[in-house]
Amino acid sequence: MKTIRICIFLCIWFISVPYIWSQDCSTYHEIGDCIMDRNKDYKIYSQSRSAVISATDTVEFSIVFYGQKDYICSFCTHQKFYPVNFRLIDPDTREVLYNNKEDNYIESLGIGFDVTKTIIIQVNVLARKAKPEEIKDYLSCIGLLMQYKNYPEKKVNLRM
Amino acid sequence: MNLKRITKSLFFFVSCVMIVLSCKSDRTRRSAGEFVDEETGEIIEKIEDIKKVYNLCPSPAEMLSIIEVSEMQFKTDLLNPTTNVDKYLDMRSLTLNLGIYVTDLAYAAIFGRREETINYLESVQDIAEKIRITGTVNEQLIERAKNNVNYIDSLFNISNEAFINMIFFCEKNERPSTIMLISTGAIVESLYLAANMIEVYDTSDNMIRHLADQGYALDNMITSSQSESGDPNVAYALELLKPLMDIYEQVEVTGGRMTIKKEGVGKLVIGGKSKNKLSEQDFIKLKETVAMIRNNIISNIN
Repeated sequence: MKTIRICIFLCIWFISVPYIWSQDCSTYHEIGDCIMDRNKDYKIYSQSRSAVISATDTVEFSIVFYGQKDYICSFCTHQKFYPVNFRLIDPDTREVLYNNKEDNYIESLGIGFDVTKTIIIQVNVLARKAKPEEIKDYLSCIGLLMQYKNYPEKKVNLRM
Repeated sequence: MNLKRITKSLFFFVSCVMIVLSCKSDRTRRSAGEFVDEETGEIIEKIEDIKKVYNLCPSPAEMLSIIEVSEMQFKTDLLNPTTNVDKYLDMRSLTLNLGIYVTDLAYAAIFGRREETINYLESVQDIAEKIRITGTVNEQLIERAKNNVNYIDSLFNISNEAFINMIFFCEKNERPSTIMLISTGAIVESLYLAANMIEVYDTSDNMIRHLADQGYALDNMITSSQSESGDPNVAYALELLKPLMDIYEQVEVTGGRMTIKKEGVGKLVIGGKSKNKLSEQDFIKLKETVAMIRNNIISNIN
């Protein structure tokens, strides 16, 4: 009886450990295939984040974007979870300002902010290359890598 | 008899492992199917409510990056001296002051102050170890700073990295109250430094506008911690920040509807809405309030 218990424990351990490990997503935006602009003017934004996601989840990132800066937001996930669908949402009105479906699910978007603003980025994955059982059971990481640089001087348009 | 039992157990164990492995290999061997749009539509319909919301805040270096180094003077007397580190003994004051010191580190780095940057980096390392955020500010990072003291961009990146490493460590180890205390110290010190860099109130001053905009970061930080408000440290931090939030709630917001301009595929410009206007009265009140909160933190008054 004791041996059976040990065997069951070992089996559970063998099955679960890879799944537990696979859920550490904290630095996925750095190690995954998020597109990075190598231009030296761009700095990595500290609000870059990663999260655990399944094909039936939606994750929201509420991000402060400072004015007079150009940002690049790039998304990455497991290859079976592509394409990534993201929407920019006004937090005050919940109005969808942009949906990457309009641009055939592009994974990287440049956004210039004239004034400082909080924007919600709502993300889910369409998982077009995954099988139905994988959609139900699998968890993966979603990474959002953000870079920024100051507006060129001539672009200043504050209308104060 | 004993040998027979061992053989039986071993056989059972190997069988279990083989079953597990065979299941896994079958999963990888099958070719991946592709969904047609109708199926994808069904999946989208099944999407559950928002699973998780991340309310994020900029790092101290980013909050202070508005400082025009060429036009402003580095003020040592504004910083919390590194000699104070030993004054902080309990976890709460250590963690709050870690936020203060990591912001002072960013301030020194922005001005390219070599000696101060290294000193503050070492103090940050010291406190981080004391509150068991182990390895986030390590010898390699300090060595990199020492090797790059002549490059302001590198110092800026290193100070940012120190902050990000600490936050990621706490997120990974589920320490939301530590994140809240560090962030509280950081935002208070950022506001204190920014407010004290402004000599004369002037509405056309970028620093005034930037100071008004920090309400967004404060708001995000408070929202992110609401679910943890039962934790005494989070409740304490929220209490510290309340007078600041009260001031920001009074800040006048001008400007029309938010505008979105598409500049080709993959490029947007967002503008038009929400220019925050900090009046002279609000500015003075903010400056006084933040100085009072900051002095309570660095003097270890609980």
